[in-house]
Amino acid sequence: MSYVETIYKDPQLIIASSSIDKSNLGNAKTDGLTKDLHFKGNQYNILLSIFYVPLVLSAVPMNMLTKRFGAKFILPIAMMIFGSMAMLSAAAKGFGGIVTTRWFLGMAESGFYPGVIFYLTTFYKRNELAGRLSIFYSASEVAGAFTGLIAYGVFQIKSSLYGWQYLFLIEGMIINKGDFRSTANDFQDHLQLLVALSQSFSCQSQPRQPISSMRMKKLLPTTASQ
Amino acid sequence: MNSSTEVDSKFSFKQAIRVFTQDKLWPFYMAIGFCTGVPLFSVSNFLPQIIAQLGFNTVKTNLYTVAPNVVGACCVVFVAFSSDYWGDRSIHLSATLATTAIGFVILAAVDVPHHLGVGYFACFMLCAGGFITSPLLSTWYNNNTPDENQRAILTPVMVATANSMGLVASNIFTEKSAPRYQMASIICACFGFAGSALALGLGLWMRYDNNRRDKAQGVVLKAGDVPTSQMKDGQKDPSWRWMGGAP
Repeated sequence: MSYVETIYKDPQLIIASSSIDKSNLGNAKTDGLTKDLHFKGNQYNILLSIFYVPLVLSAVPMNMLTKRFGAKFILPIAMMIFGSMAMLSAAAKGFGGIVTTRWFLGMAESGFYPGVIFYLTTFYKRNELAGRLSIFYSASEVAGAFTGLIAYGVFQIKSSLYGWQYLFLIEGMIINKGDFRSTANDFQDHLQLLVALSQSFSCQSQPRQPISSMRMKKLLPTTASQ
Repeated sequence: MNSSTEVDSKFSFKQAIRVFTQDKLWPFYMAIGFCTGVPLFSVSNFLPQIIAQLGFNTVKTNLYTVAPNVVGACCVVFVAFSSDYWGDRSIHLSATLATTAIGFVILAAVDVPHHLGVGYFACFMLCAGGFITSPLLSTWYNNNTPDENQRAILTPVMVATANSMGLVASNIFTEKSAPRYQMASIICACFGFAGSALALGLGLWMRYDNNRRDKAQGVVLKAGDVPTSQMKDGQKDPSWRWMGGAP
């Protein structure tokens, strides 16, 4: 496997899973989610809105938690909450149930984007940041495409469960599997590799200082103690 | 090291929070963030509903969301590398926001169910311009904030405020206006054009200010000619040049 594949895979996986949760509700609605759960009036809009409240409120606290305990613990835990909530959405019997799962989804996601953006700004030079950041962001559109494909497939299943219930279950499982794959140490290793590689790749124009152990410690708080 | 003024600085909340008094431009970035947020979250939350108005059945509608997303992913990477190559954020941001806004104008103005091709093309335009805006904007303000502490506080605040626009996006696509969502398209287009104008204006101002600094210093410099590690005063340093303004 090439280096580039290795280093981008896990952070990309995280961003992709966060995007799956955002876009799958729209797919579910086309399959009659709102009818099956007896939504009234603009309850679908409330359901979408509720996601953004914890997303905004807990962005800063989540970032502080990540700094305190390290990405090693917080990101896999957040992903586990993600996947479980996506799967639990399939069990929702009404508006209240599904709103609850969306609230926790928003909470778990809030720390991801600011964290990734900040870490990347510390690795890369100013004139190479947008391209590197875009590789991470593109994962979310690819995930959007995959959600569409999965939806296309599962909505053709005829069984006692609704199509959207299969959608939530399958996507939740994919996220949880991703979580086990990117267990902590992997993620740490890949971040370290990312640092090292960004050092060696990006100094075509001007030589760059080698990364100091102090700086590495700051970026990767949990590796320092190992 | 061309990224930060000081590497390995200890985290100081006091120093970090000072970004909101020292940096005069953050309200502009935030305003652009508000304007990018509405079209972005409308596309990411409602693309299946927008495509549903073309009138295909459920299964086909979901299949038809795939292609615009793939085009969107390619555009994100392509536009971002082009932006790095030209050292420009403002024109790229302005053009991509305008692309999305024009897509929404088409959806609002054209009788979509009778002009399927036009309607579906508009969906491609939404995705082509919609997703790239947020990495470009994040890059822009981080480029012009050389202090690492300040970046650590500015980034979550900016991302969170842009995310708050998800609240607007999720409430303009009302059940009453389904399936055409005409009002929502118009609102998204307005935010898109406003953001486009703001980004262009900020870019032109940066260019003007860089020229002024060139004259004052008597040399012609570009952002990046002097490494940020040599500019202890950040934006106040005479060698400072804004990055990402119109070239």
